[in-house]
Amino acid sequence: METTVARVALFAALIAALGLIPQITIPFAGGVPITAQTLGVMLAGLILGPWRGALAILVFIAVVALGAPLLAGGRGGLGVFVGPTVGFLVGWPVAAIVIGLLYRVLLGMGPLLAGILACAVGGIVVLYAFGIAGLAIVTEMGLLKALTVVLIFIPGDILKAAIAAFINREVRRARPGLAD
Amino acid sequence: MVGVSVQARWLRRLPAGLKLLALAAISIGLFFIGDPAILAAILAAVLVLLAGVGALGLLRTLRPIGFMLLLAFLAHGLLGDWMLGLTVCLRIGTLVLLATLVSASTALSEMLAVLDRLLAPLRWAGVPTRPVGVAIAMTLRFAPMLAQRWRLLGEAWQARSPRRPLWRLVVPFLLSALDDADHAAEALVARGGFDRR
Repeated sequence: METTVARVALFAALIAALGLIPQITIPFAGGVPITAQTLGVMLAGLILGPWRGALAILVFIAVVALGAPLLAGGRGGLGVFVGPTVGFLVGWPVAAIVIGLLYRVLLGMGPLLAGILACAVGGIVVLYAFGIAGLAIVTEMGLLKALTVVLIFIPGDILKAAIAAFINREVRRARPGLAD
Repeated sequence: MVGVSVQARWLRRLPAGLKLLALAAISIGLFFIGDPAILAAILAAVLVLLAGVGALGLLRTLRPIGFMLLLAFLAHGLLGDWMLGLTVCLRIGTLVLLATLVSASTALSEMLAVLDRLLAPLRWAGVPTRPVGVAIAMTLRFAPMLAQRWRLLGEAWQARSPRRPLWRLVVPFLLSALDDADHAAEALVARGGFDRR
């Protein structure tokens, strides 16, 4: 129990730290940050497993809701829950669950390939479904229009999926006892 | 928190629960208003309120979402419905400003108390909620600790090599952070963990 709480808190903090480290948060056209925080979401799902990974993300979201400016670009507080990117936040815990479950199912293919596929499905397909739906609802754009708006983020996320899978393999190799 | 804090006495003294309820009510209400003129009037009222409590600095919280708002506005505009685009942008801008104002005028401890009250039904159902509070406190402590650990590893690397470290440090960084978390868990157990009241 205590180990679970500590690891959950660690990954929540890791997602926060990924938003803080300046060389990873690249300000992109007009100030939209390409955030490394989805990398943290992918790692939480891969390393902690589906349920603890989702818990870590819920704790992180709770901390943001409490007012800590920990989202990429120094955003935080309740404003983000009524903003156009709220769908991505809602999708994060679901993405972690899908990534964790899929990774276990695919593990027979080897940790690297399983990690990449799990992150691509959970961290891109599932996450963007939520993100696009949220964007469409908040801005009253059509789904297709919302899809074209977020397309610019996808190449970065494919790269993140590969990085997350690599890190996961290395961490598990060094700590084989890392139970999930 | 949220980078800017609002010092206006009366706003800080309002109970956090009341502010959150009002925010929720206004959020729902705004989605039923489709007239840009009314929304513009509400936004103007919010701006007057911000100026009144000396919090115009909160306007900069709109910058990160400005790009998305602009895209939404253009997307609607190109479809020939500039008014809808305007309505949407006014509504989101107003909501984000109000929500940020609530966050900026409420202490973290008050927000935690509200969260604790929201979790009360779980407690009545026999689910222990103390780990939630502990996890949140640990997250707030771990976040700056991780940033510091990353810097330390970077300095240790630079002391030994002229090349740039970056990706080579990621795995050792995560491993040492995982070890830190397990040590914290051991310390928690040694002090009674979650068994003791």
